[in-house]
Amino acid sequence: MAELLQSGKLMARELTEHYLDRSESLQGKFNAYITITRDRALKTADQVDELRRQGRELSTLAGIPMALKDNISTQGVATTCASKVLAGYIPPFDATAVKKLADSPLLGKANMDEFAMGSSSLTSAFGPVGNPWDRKRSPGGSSGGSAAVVAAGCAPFSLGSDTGGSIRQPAAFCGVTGFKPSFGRVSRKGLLPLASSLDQIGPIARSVEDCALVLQAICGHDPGDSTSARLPVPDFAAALREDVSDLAIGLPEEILDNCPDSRISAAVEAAARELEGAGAKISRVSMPYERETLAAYMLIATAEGASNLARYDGVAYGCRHTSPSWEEMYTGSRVFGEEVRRRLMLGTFSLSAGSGCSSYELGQRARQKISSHLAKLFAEVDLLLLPAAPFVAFRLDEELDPLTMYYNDIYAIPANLAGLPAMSVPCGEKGGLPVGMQMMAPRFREDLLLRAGYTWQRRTDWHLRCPREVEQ
Amino acid sequence: MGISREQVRKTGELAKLSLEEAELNRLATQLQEFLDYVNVLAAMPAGSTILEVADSGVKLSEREQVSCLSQAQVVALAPDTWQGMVRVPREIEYD
Repeated sequence: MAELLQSGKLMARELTEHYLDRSESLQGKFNAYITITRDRALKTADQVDELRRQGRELSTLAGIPMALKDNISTQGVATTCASKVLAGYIPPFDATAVKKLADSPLLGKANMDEFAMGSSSLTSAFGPVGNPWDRKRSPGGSSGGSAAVVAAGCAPFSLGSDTGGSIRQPAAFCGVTGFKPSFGRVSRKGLLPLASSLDQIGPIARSVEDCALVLQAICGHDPGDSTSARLPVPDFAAALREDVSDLAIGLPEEILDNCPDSRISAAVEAAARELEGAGAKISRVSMPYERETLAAYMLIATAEGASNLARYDGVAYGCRHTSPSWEEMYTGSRVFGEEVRRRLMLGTFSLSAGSGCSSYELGQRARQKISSHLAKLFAEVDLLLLPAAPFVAFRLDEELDPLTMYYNDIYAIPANLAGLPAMSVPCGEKGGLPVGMQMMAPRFREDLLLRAGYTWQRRTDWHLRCPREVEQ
Repeated sequence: MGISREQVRKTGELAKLSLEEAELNRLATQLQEFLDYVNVLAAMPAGSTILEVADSGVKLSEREQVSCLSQAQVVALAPDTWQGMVRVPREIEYD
């Protein structure tokens, strides 16, 4: 696509109109967008075409349309976090990651779980998102809309955010590739925060190659984000070579042995054998602390979420409940949905005096322990290979209790706790639904993930399959 | 450790959430389930410590000037304004 644009054989406007038309035609089916931004997209496309006509050198992604999760600030375009609390909020600035993709026409703001709290994209105030593989099933969450638009062919790539698996799990549910960079690789400025020590923006696309292109564009130090890593951005394209002969890959035995869906663990084991056939050295490693991982995440993410969402008080922006009383203005303005309220309660409780064993500090100590264990594993292996999620896409009408819903992210959470890069790629199917596997690497070693993922996708075709529900 | 309705109510006040009476029981049950689940952390092997920043050897970043929004841009977002400022309910009563 980039080559066709650069050679002039394809115009950005033509490409953008195609994706806009497709997005609008499928919106009623999957509800993957909250806002479709036709005028802005075509304006950007026309600008790119004009610059190309003038012979100006443009970025690789110039003219390639994109979707953005609706918790990423876009100047002049509503950014709602799928919540009534921010209905109508129009940011006065672009997030840094958006500025870096200024030449990519914005197709629209993708639907999501409210304030990124969820693994289903069911909690959106704008209605649930359907999975392109079966629209009666969840696309996963919280970046469900971002994954669905790519899977349905409505966007070549999208940006999501990942706090506890929210890029990787929906990518697995939708049969696409999702990449969570190391904490600090991509600026969080302009990402409406959920958990400030866990959140990262990352790409969702059809292939590892496409993810590498987007990563190259959005990574880099930003003085506007105090957690942004002061590291040069590697040449990610150089990592895209078919060679795993020097890589040692660890399979966490507790996770594979106890995975609730044996088809998923079997698909991951089969993938390991394929990579072994390509020259990688495969070994079993121990990765205990499954319950502790989820417990630590629940305490940390909800506590940080409660702190971050305290700003939504009706004072300076967003929804305001008019009242002569301060207290009623605050509580009346905070019209969150049930899941957000539940997490705010847990987070507030764990930050409050006397919370004892439920405290935020206890969660952080556990986090340190888990991170140290992962660091020891990466002294033995270069990558970890495990399922992206314990289940395939569940039905939208399946009533999962809150704890079971949180369990969806059990395999993804360690990477967030330790700030590690991780990627989900399709590796199989169960009952016509995609199965995703996850690779995890040491911090700032995105290159290892890209190399292994590229090798995998050169040898298999899971990432090329498309949902039957959607004509491509 | 059991969580009472009163604790739920108090937590709701801290979270600035308006809780209906019917919600209190449901939230108490759900919070208790979470607390029972996270209780596993109390049994985690000892030895993990949190490093203080001063001990960690981490060098803090230099302060850098970055661009920020103007007052007009910020006030333009507000639900209610008055003379270039955000208007809110009166807090202080004057005699």
